[in-house]
Amino acid sequence: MTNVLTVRDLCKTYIIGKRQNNVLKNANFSMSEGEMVAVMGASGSGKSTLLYTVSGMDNPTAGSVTFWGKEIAKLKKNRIADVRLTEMGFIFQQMYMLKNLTVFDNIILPAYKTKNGTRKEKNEYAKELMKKMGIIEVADNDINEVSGGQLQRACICRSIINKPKMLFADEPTGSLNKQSSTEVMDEILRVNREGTAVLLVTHDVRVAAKSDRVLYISDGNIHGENTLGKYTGESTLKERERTLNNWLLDMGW
Amino acid sequence: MKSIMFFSILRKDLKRKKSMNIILLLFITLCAMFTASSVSNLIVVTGAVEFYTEKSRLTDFFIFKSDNDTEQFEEWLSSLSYVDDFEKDIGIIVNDENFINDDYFTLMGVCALTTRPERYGFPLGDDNNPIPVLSGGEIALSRFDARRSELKIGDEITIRVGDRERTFTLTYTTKDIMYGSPYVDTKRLIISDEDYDYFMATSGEQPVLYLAYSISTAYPQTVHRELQKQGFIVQMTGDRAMIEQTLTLEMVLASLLVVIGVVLIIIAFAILRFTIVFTLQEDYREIGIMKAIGLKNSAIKNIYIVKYFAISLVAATGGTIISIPFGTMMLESVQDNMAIQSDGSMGINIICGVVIIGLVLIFCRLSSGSVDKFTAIQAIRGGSTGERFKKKRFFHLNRRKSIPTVFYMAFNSILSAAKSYTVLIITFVLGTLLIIMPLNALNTLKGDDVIYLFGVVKSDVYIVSPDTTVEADIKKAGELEQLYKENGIELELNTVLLIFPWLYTDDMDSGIQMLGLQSSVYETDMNKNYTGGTPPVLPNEIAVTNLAMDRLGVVIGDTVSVKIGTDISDYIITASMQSMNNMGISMLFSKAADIDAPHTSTMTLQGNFINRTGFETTEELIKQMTEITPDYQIKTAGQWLDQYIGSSIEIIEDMKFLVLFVVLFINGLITILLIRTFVTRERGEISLMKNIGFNNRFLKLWQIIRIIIVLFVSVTLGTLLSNPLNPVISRYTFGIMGAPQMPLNVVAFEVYFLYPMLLLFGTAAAAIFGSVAVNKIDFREINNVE
Repeated sequence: MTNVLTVRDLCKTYIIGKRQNNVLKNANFSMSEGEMVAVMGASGSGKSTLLYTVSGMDNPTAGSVTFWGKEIAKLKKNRIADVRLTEMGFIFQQMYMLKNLTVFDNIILPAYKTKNGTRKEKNEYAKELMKKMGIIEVADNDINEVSGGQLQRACICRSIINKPKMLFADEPTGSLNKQSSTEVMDEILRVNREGTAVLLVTHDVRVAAKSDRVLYISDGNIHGENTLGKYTGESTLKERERTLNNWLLDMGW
Repeated sequence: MKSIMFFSILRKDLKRKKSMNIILLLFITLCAMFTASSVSNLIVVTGAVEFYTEKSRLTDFFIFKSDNDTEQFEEWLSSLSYVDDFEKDIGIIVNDENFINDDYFTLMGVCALTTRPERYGFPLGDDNNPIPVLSGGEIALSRFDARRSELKIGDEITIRVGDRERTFTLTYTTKDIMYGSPYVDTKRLIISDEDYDYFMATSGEQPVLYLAYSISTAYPQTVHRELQKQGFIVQMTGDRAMIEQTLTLEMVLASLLVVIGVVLIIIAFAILRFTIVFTLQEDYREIGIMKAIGLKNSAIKNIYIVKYFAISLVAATGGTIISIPFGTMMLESVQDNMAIQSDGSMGINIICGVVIIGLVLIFCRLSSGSVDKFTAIQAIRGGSTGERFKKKRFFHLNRRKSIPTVFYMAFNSILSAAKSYTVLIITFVLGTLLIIMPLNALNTLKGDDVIYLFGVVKSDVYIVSPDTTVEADIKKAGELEQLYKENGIELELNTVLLIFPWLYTDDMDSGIQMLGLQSSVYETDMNKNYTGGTPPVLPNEIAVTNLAMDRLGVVIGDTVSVKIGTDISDYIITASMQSMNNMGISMLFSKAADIDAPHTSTMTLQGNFINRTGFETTEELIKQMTEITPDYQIKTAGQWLDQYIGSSIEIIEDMKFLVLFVVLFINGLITILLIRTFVTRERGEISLMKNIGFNNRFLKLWQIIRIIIVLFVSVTLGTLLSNPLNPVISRYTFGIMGAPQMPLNVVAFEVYFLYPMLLLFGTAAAAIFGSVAVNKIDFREINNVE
């Protein structure tokens, strides 16, 4: 399997006034093509900072992040933006969308920014994605006219509209109810099964249990990892959750 | 305890929302600056004429005459019971020949060497006080003449009178209410008593004297009427109103300042309202949360009122201080030729500053009604009450096949929040109008048609002969035609006669002194002057300006009496016209009218070339003609006109650049501030777009393009609006000069392209600068998405 992401001795320090806050301390891990990895840890352990530094949104203080052979920190700002646009997808805890655009326009906006394919092809692909996610009927709605679950699925559509090599998700189900959460996770799993690597941050054991591997972060460092293997269906979920819970207890969760 | 919490919230607000508070501070500063400077200038300009006439001690009535019957004249003047006092200033008449180094010294009309008056009609210095009595070797002349002759303080002027010659140093350039206007042909050069006596003692040809009587009287019109009944030969009479009329140009500029002032105040208040409403709307979340934790509406409103008071106090103080140099800069062009009370207006500025603080609080109080509307639910639901929002989108990105994404985003932002752009549109439209209006006035003054309003026909060349008698000119015309022909230049010369008749209806007492013109060619060529009726053809037909007809209460078809010298004849008014001659009080005789030569003079000889063979340009022909007749001044139409309005053009040109600078400054400042305001409001969305891979270039372009779209729409709107406003400008600017129906010369390239482009590029540059704020937004601000 090809390594899509390699993180080496990653450090991130924020300086607030005279105070220095070392959020990430020599974090190391890697991900293979098509893998789905969940990052878990207590609040303030550095999960989100890890996600944002790895995805090039934030600059590391030290260490390196190699994404498909490209060292992210060494790329120029515009190039990083291009990589994020075409090779990475992002899902956030909140369903962030541009309020003056319809659901459909929000989804196709990143696609229109790229030069691959015609607008017609992009529109067709967006419709196909929306159909798959079951939200095609709200395509022309304003973003405040749809439910949270629909909006989060629209956010997933937007994140994969440019067929990224990797999807970053920061608590993608954090603000959803149980049913919506299950539906959204099913969509993320489907994207992953279609070949897109996924790195997600979550507090939810049920969500993490669907990942191939779980990283436990504590005090800015990766303290351990648990390989659960490919998620094959609902029937195995309970067992995966139990395994994960036991491991998390060992980790000090 | 309660007050501690109150000030704690306030302190946190000021600190945390630094950028919005700074924007608020800057906008209120701008508002105070514009308002204070404009109101102060409005007051100064309104009382400017009175201040100038008082400072100069302008006389109630004046009479210019030559030195004949002087004793009898003064006896008559002294006998008038209603004349309180009079002062006689004697001047030595000089012309080009008297100036030894006259390469750069431009003369027109009558020029007199005189001493500083003792009681009336003082020339004023830079400090708006009368210049002191000059010492030997010093000379002073009006700023207008100095500028026209390209003379500056310290330059030397050598003058010869008879057999006596003296070199003077230009010591003062003055604001001369009596002689300093481009519309007054009579000029004066002030010298010392000693130098005056030196010239008068010449043993050569005795100088021709010129007497100017300044008369103090409560009844100037009675003096005028009595003078008409006497047989004295006078060259010119006038009262304060007439002199005040010569300040036309300054008043046109002052009116322009008033317009600029009013526009700036409108812009200021639009900004003020926008900023307060905008900042309050931005705070719905905080307001909702404060309500959620139990704060009452009144307590929340008090927080805002105290906050706005603190900000407006600082801003209004700053704005008031800046308003003083800003106002002075705006007044500079008017002050150049006119005494203006520009000091001591600090009080007005301070009052304006206080008014702005009051208005901010009133606006705040009125706008804080929205505090009542914002609910805790809105804060929790990110601005929504849970009900459906009104649809904001007007067109869909996916249905626009060709529009680039960044353009779509820009259009969509504008159409989704059109109200937010109102202040920008108002500023840009008014700014465009402010530039185009003086531009049209300036181009009209520079245009070909203006020459008709000065009583001459447009010709290839204008020849001013050293001899000004009519007979000489008419005789010269034939001789000159022949002389030039012999030297290979074929041209046809003619002249316009000047007559100074009295025009009246039944009663001579109600008559007015006119400037009459007679030309052999004007019936066809001067059609542009006529505003009604048919041009005079028969000997007893005349055309009279609308301004003079209004004063006399006559209309086309009426018969009026015309007194020329001692002859009185009846004439029929066949046409109305407009003219800038004699401030619009003039008339035209038909070419058939028989007017006695002793009562006429000439303005210029005018010539049209019959054959230009061998010469490529008019300038080449003029050069050749000057070599043939070196004593004659030969000018092109432009050069001839320049001696009348050249200075006006310069001043309006300066004003145009000042307005352009002010408008670009305002556009730029407001653009930068508004972009920063929008970026602050949209920081969440910008951050989101950065997160999903949009680069800074795209995001900045998005900001810039929407400003350019708004600017483009506003400039187009402003340019279109300028068209219906043209007649208004014409009426108020050229109307004062005597040509209210002057068709404005709209130079399409400048009005529709050059200046709109300057505005577009200038403001786009500010937009580019303002959009840099996008760079500072980072990925964490995504949490601000509503």
